[in-house]
Amino acid sequence: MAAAFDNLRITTDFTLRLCALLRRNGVDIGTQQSIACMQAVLLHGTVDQDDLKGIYRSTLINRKQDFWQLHTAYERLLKDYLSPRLTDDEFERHGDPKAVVVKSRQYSGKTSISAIGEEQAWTEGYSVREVDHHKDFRLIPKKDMPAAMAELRKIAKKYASIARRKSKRAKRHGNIDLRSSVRDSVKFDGEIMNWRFKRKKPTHSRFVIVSDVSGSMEIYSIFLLNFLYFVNSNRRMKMESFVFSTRLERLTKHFQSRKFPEMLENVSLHFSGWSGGTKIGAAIEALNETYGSVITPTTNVIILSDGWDTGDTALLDREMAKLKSRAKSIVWINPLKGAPLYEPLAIGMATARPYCDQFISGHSLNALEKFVGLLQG
Amino acid sequence: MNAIYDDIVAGLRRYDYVADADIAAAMFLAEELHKPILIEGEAGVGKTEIARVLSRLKNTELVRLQCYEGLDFNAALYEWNYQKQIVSIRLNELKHNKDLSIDDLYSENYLLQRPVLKALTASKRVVLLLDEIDRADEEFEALLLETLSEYQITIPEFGTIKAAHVPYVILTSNRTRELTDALRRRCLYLWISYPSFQKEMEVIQIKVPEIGRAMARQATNFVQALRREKLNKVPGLSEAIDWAKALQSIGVRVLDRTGVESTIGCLLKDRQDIKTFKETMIVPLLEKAGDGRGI
Repeated sequence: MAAAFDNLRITTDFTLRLCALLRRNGVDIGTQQSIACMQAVLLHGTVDQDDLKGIYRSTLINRKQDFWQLHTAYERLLKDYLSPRLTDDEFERHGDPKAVVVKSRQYSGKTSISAIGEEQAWTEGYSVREVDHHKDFRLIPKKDMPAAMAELRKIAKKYASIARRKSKRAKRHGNIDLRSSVRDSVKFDGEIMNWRFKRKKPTHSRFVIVSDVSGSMEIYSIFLLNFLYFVNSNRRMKMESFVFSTRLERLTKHFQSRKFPEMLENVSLHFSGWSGGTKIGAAIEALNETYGSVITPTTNVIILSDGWDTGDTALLDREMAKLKSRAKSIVWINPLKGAPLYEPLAIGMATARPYCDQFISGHSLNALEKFVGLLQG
Repeated sequence: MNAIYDDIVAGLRRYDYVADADIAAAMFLAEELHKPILIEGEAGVGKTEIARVLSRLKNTELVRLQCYEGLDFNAALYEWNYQKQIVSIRLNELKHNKDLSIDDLYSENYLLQRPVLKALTASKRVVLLLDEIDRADEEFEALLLETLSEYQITIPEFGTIKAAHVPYVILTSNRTRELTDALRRRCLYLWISYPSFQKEMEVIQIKVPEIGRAMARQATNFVQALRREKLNKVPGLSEAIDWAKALQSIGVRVLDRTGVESTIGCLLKDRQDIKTFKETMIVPLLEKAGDGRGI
């Protein structure tokens, strides 16, 4: 394998292609970094794979969470590079950023008919769905935003009516309530004269959604806001919505505006902390103290945040404990959890993690779909 | 190329630092490409220690700047010595001396060198350590950008001071907040995770040689198993070393329940962790660490 890299020209070419591939996958690589990487490669002259990987790790990557991207991009490129079947022309086509790339597994949302290997390949084709449901929100290009929003609305709508296992009597709708009908028949000497009906009782669980809209969540918060709006438009759910960065604001009634632009305007008028720092502890404290009345023993608290906290972690710890003791459950949705190598290491996240009943990701349409499924119970 | 890395690893080993190829590669590239190294990792895995060892390896001075919230250029880069300026002006008035000009007042004589400027103006390559950069504000990162990419500082009243000898710059971060892309782009990146069993045992034997091989193995086993448990604050390498020292100083020869319970404060720094450890973890961990005799 080492022989493959003996030729410096090939190594240089490989490095440049890797930079391009990583950029396309959303890894932020500046020109300075690629220059440093090339300098390091030239400095080494002849290198083997381990050295080369070491160089890439220290020069091209500047975040731990990007290591996985580097690893997969490297392996894929190496496979393509060493594959005797692939001609230069084919490689160019694979590397063309303008190619329409749609994963075949998205077709009609049913079980994929494609082979397992195909999932990894770049396949040109068309899909009924316009947006890849598994794609991280960070990576959705601007032009696909409206389509992504439409998908988001569909998901929120799909789960709009949340039925519970409990049922109640109904006049003429729903299923036959055999037990009640039989009991009723007793007075007619066992002859069922009137059929009784029952239907599922809609839920009255209370939800409090606390969404982080600080700088680190900026890219996700626009999707999450939309999602909150769509979920809030379901009148059956008793939902209180809060947003926070360095302070907490209750925006329930604004989210209930009938028109989306009107909602956005109201929300931006009433909250000035967009893209600021994060003080999760202070926000939870405000929730406990100022809005204590919304937290009851039947309340499910849903926190949407990446856990990057600039505030006091002791305060966060104390307030999370308090919240935990008062609410029915706490669900933490963390967009960063979608990254394959993610561990809840941010101090805020590490502090709050033990108090959460559920810890799920919210980085893609698919993840949010799963979350609403969870609400449904 | 491996030979160069091996040399670096061996060099660091001489100063009691157990390094791997990644650390060696980052140090080699930092030296050759004149780039700062940004080191991230869990608390207590030896990030700061790298700077200390590097300064000893290169036989040079370590200039350290501990970052904190609210740190500004006056404390990090340079400051004008106002008292001296005022005294000079007053003396000048008393002596009726007309020689003193504004330029004189803003000259090098009145400039107080703070760590970053001190590192740039040093007479040889020094090691500049910007410790826990994530504790400083984002604005402070912006102040550093010029220094990190050009190795110079521009002082409006004075001009630009360029480094005669480019210092080795090491930045460490505990990831309590996300650093800006601008800063990251200017640095080489090095991630240090919790050490492997072999590495940790080697470090413990180097730092606490009196502990003996068998005990070092048991202690390392115990710490490695403890890290896999659900804890609020996972112990790092430095905690493991402290613990080994504590065990050695109270004369524990075989890891047992009493020994562990009396020294657990060195490993776990969280009240809840210690409580759950004593209640549920200690017995299975002792089983994993040794042959179970100490329970």
